[in-house]
This record gives sequence, structure tokens and C-alpha cells, in this order.
Amino acid sequence: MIELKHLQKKYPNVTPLEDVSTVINDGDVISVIGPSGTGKSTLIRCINMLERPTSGQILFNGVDITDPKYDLTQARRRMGMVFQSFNLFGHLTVIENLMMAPMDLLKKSKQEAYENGIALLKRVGLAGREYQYPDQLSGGQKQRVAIARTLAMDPEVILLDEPTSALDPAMVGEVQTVIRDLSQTGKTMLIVTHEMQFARAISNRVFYMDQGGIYEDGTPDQIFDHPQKELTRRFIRKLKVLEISIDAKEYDFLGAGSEINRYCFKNDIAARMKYRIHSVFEELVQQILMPVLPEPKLKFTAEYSEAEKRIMITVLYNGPAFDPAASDNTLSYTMLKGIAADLQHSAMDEDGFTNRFQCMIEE
Amino acid sequence: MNRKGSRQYRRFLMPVLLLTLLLFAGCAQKEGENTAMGQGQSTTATKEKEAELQEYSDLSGKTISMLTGAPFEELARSKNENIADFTFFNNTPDMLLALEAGKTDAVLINNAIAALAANRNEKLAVFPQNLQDSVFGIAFRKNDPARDEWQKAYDLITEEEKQALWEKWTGSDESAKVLPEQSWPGSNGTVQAAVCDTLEPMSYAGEGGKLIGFDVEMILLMAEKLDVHVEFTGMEFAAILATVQSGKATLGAGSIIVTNERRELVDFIEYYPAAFVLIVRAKQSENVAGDQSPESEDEGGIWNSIAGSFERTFLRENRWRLFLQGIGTTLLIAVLSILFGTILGFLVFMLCRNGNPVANSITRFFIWLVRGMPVVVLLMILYYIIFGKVSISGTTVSVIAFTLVFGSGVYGMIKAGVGAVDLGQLEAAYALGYTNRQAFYRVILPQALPHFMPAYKSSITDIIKATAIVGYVAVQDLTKMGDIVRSRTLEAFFPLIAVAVIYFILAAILTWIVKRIEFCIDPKHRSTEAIQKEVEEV
Repeated sequence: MIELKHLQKKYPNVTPLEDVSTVINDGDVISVIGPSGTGKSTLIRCINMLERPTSGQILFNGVDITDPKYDLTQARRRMGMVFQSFNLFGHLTVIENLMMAPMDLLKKSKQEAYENGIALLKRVGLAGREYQYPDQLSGGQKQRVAIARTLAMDPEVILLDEPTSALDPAMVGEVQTVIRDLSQTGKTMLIVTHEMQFARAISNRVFYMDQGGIYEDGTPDQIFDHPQKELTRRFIRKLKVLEISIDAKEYDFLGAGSEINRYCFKNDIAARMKYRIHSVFEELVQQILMPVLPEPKLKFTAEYSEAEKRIMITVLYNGPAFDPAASDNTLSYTMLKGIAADLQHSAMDEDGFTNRFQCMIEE
Repeated sequence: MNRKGSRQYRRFLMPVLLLTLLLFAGCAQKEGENTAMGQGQSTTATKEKEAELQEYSDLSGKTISMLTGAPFEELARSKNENIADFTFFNNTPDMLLALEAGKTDAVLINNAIAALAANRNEKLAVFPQNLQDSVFGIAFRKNDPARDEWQKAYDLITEEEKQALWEKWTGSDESAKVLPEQSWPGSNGTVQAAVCDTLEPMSYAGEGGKLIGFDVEMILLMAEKLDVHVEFTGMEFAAILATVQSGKATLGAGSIIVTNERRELVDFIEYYPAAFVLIVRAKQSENVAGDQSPESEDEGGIWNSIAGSFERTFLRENRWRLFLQGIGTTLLIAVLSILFGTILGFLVFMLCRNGNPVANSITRFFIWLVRGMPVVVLLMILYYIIFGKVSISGTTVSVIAFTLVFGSGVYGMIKAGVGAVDLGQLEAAYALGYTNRQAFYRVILPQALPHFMPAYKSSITDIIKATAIVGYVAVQDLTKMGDIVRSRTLEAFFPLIAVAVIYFILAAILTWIVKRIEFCIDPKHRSTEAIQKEVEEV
């Protein structure tokens, strides 16, 4: 069992982990997902102390391994790690990569280490490659050897840091097969991955990481089908998001326009849809809402789903309950209805917003 | 492997072939003079020879050369203000060769050497005017009480004895030029003497590299009276006074002419009258050529002249032993410096590896210091200043200096080599549970080796060549032995080429050894059987 208590990791410029606390139970197979730069790799590299946390504690089977007096090598021998870039020992043959650590550190006999190594190579489908050097292998083969090397130490926990990210797409499958087999063995595993289908298939638990920590923690069904939180939903559905905040009557209307243009360009949104976003913004925000808000506080959000080719627009604003459908500006509302579908108004109360209006632009 | 080996062989053969070609060219060109050269030749030619320059006025616009440390510019200028330039050489043979080759026009040197050189070499003659009469001196450290004791001993030597000695050493009877044994008991200890080894007939290396000459025997005469033994160390002329001043030797000799400037530095025993003279080229070379028997030239041709050079350079007086000694010294210094330097560089790297700021800044400072100055300067600072008051041999100081130089190089190479190993290798080792130290030896170092071995091999060649400067601290290495032989044969070509070829061979041998070692420790060259050792297949 691994227990993280208020784990924080700061670098001079960024703080990937603000405050992480969780419990990893024996036998958990956890997929760690999330956008780039949210500390996924940092988290699992902290667990075996390759990155020393700035503060907080890691209890491995009840022992605090962040204690400077603790002999880290003891914990690391029981926590294997598989790296994105394999990191096989280039001066040794495949079988020696598998034999060296058990002989050096576990004091196994050469014969024992050799037999165990051969068995592991068979298990990862590389029997017969034992006397080749790493640079004679393909990327997928290297990663399978790296997994076998980790298994040679018979660890309780296996940490996999994006094991398939550096691979040719054709080789991802063979490595995933090995990892999938591994996930059936009951070993505790943490795997950082970008392959959502794979994560869903092998894990019993998913960490969605964002905003400096584990943003949402749940079963694969919960995270992938019914995400509870906004950022998780956006990530899972691969939504591209544009946010424009307005907090004064004299806001930069033209600037907002060019932000919409940039967003559309970056996400390769069709010209017709871009025109519609502009129109919704102009009719709804500029024509209908701005005149009735004496002290405007407004947030315009566009979420583009590439898969569904549609954009959901949400506008949050303050003031007394006001449905744009009831606006005096019927011309603008009529135009709005022409461009967008599923127009909905609801009342809310969060962060100073009291109204929520939502509509959908389809291609 | 076989093909690789033969390519290496060829690479090494090429320079040797080139040098051999050069050798032929050089001998063909020098054919005429070689037959006339060599010691023990009749001295009659001197009388007939006329100097190319006769009057001081002839020196206008000419270049005059002297030994480094000879302060006679003003003296020469006082004779002729229009002397174009002065150049300085480290030893007499080089200077005389430069004179022959027309690179200089006159060589300022003492009368003894001048007479001998003119006797030996048909192309040279003594300038008819004495620049100044002076006296030869044996140098002692300023205010050294030992000087007075030696002076007393000197005073006991009779004029007849001195004259006999002079005639013995400047005469043409080579067989008489033997030193007496130090057969007295030596109950008052042993004294160190620094002596120039390229100044025939005053002090030079005779058979087997033993120092002989007028100065040497003069010192022995005094030593017998004081009942002390003397240990002679041969060195460059320029190093003698510094050696005496630093106390590394009690007395220094090498036909040192006493001047006021030198008196400020050391005290002297004045032991024989001297004169400064100039050697210049002889007037007519046709005459000289005509003297030679034409048959010998035709019959002998290149082969004879090569054989003659070879005989003089290697066989006469068993001079090959000098080369062997020189090779021994050069190898000793090079091999020890390589060994210690490698160990030093490695140790320093291990101390600095984990970024200890104190160790790092000290290391950076020393490397900056060692790399910032020419090795020869470092060597002399170590010898004359840092170990100036310590009784320590030049060879030891040389090993220390080159150990520092090689060590700082090795440190840089290991650092670069280790830096070239991907950081992921270290992380992988850590993740398996290796300690920092284990990870370094088991994972990082074996992979750093291929990165720094090429640089390491070439720096071995560099260090062997760099040791050629140890002559500055009185070590008789290969280059110095070549100089000594040249000071006797007074020909440059054969000894220089021989020395060059020997350096090539030494470098090739050492590099080959390191390549073998590299091959043996390279894990990628192991056979499957070696990996499978002690393992039964499953």
C-alpha cells in the first residue's frame, strides 16, 4: 500500500504538484491521465523518489520513504519502473540487462538469474534474443525487454511512465499486450498513458490529473462515461475550449473577435462555423445582454468537439434573472435562433454568476 | 579484426616511409660535407681555412647567435653598432648547424669550443679577432662557504697541471680523453655538480653518456684534494646557473665565462683564461670540396654517407646506448605520468562528481592553472621554485608535472564522457535499487568509456611528444640524448630523424597497448561464451 500525504513538488518556475493526497491499495491498476504538463510523470517519479518531493510524505507499506535517513534502495528494489525511453543498459546484452540487478542487488546466483531471465523473455515474447544488444532491437522489443528487466526484480509495484509514447504506432500493440497481461497478475501498477481505450481496458481506477493534483479519481466507467467535473469532461471528450471574460461595459469587442478567429484557426474549425460563433457572440452578448447589464460580469465559453463537429456555447452572466428569449431585441433573438439550436436559459449562483444561457452550433 | 590491424599497421608505416625518403634527400644533399666531417679528423685544414668575415666592420647587417643566457649583446655592439640581429639557441650544435645553413652569420662562443668546431667542420672558421679576453669560472651559490673551500683546493693545483689538462682536452688525441676514476675515499661526502653536456671539449657526454671534459676533470682535481665525491648532472647551458642558485647543485660548470652580470647572480672560482670569439663560415667552399678525394664520393655515394652517419650516430662510442637510455627515460616519464595522471584525473572526477562545491572550485582552479601555462613553464616552476629547496630528481619533477597535465586532461575527458551518457541510464539504475556509487561503476562508467577512449588515446601520443621538454630540468630523455649525440657528430639529419622515428614507434606501441586494454574491457567485444560462463542453458 502506498499512501501519499500532501505531496508537493515545486520547480523554480512551475509547481506541477500542489497538494496530492491519496491511497494506492495493493493490487490497484491505476491509469494516470490528463493534459500535458499536469504532473502525471512527476507524480509517479515522486513515488519512487526519482524526483524528490518538495514537501509531503510517501508511506510505502507504512514506512516513510521521504525520510532522508531511509535507505531508498530498499524501496526502489520493490518498485519497478518502466520508462518512456526504455533506458536499457546499452553496454549489456538483453539477458545481462535482466540478470545484472538481481545478481548485484538480490544476490541471486548467476544460474538462477539466467533461468529467470530466460523465462521472462519468453513471457514478453522475446525468447531467442538474449544475446542481442539493445541497439539491435526495435522500439517495441526494447520496451518489452525493459518490462522484463523490471519484472526480474520481482517488484510489488510497477510504475510505467508513458510506456508506449515513444513508439512507432505499429509497435504500440505488442507492448500494450504485455502490459495487459501484467495487469492480470495482481501486482500494483500505476501507468501514465495517453491511450484512453487502453487505460480503460486494463485499469480498475483512473486518476485524472489537472490543476496541480489528482483532479478526479474514480473507476474507468465513472471517469470515461460520467465524469463528475468540468475539466475531466472536457478532456475525456477532447473538447477544445475558448473562454472570453467581460467585466466592463467598455470591453474590447474587436479583440474578442480576433480571439475567436485565433481559436478557430488553431483548432481547424470550418469557416461556416467560425462565422456562426461570431454571430452568436454579436447577437447574444453585444446586442441582447450588454445593454441590459449595468455592471456586466460575463463569461463566454465555446467548446468544440472535433468528433461530433459541433460547438457548445455557454454564456454565464450576472444581474437579475433574465432570459434572452424575453428580450426586447426580438430581431437579434430571432437571428440567434436561426444560427444556433437547443437554446436554454437557467438560473444559477456560482462565482457571482446568476444566469446561464446555452446553445449549440452544428455544422 | 585482421583487416583493421593491417590498416593500423599501414597508418604507422606511412610516416616511417616518408621519413626514410627525407633521409635520402637529406643525405644526398649533404654528401659532400659528410665525408669530411667527424671527429678525430686532421686539424691541418684549420690553418688553410680563411674566415668569410675578417674585420669587425664585416659584421654590419649580420646576425650573431649565442647560447641562451649568454649576455654578450653589448660586447658585440661595442665592436660594431650595425649588427642586424641577435638570436639565441639552447645548445651549441644547433647554433653551428644554423651557421652552416646560413640562418645566422656568426656564433659567439668561447675559444675552446670555437677551435674544436673549426677543426671538425670544414665549412666553419674562427673569426680572427678576439672580442674580449676573460676567464672561465665554476659557479657557486652566492655567499656559499663551500666556494672558499673549493678555492683553497683549486689554489693547490699547479699551473703545469692546468696546462696539461688543457692540452689533453683540446688536443686531437681522442684516446687520451678519459677521466680519472674517483678512487679517493670520499670521506667528506658527495657533492652535486650541474654541468652542460653539449660543450665539447669543456664538458660533454662521452661514451655511454658519461660526462667528461676539461671542466669535469678540473672539478675532479679539486674534489680529490677535498676528499669528496662528485655527482655530475648534465643539462642545458641555460639551466646551470638556475640550478646552482636554487641549491640543487653545489657547483656549476660548462665553460661559463665570468662576467660582471653573472657575478651578481653567483660566485665563481676562476680557473682558466678564456676568450670570446666568433665562429663564421669559411671563405671558399670549392677549395674544401677539391680537397676531398673524388673517388670516395663516386663509389660511396648515398649509401656510404648514410652508413657513415649511421656509424657516427649509433655505433661510435656505443652511442646507441644513449638512445636506449633516452628511450628508457622518456618511457618512464610518459608511462608513469599516464598511469598517475589517469588515477589522479579519475580520483578528482570522483570527488567532484556529486557537485561538492568546494572540491569543484578547487579543481577548477588547479585545472585553470595547469592548462593556462605552457608545460615547460609549469615544469620549470615546479623544479626551480616549488621543489627548489628539495632534493628531488628532474625525472621525479617531470613525472609530477606531466601527471598534473595528463590528469587535468583525463578529468576533462571523463567528465565529457560521463556527460555523454544519457541521464536515463542513471535513472534506470536508481529505479532498480542501485546506489549512486554502484550505478556509476556498473552502468555509467562502462558506457562512458567508448566516449572518452579516442581522446584518451590521442592524448597519450601528445604526452609522449610533450615529454621532449624535460631537458629543461636536466633530464636526459630521448630528445636530449639526440642533442647530446648531435653535439658530438655536429650533424643534424640522422640523429633528428632517428629521434622522430623513435617517437613514432613509442607512440604507436603505447597506443597499441591502450587499444588492447580498451578492447579487453569493452563489454561489446565479449563472446557469447564469455557471457554464458558458469551458466547452464535452459
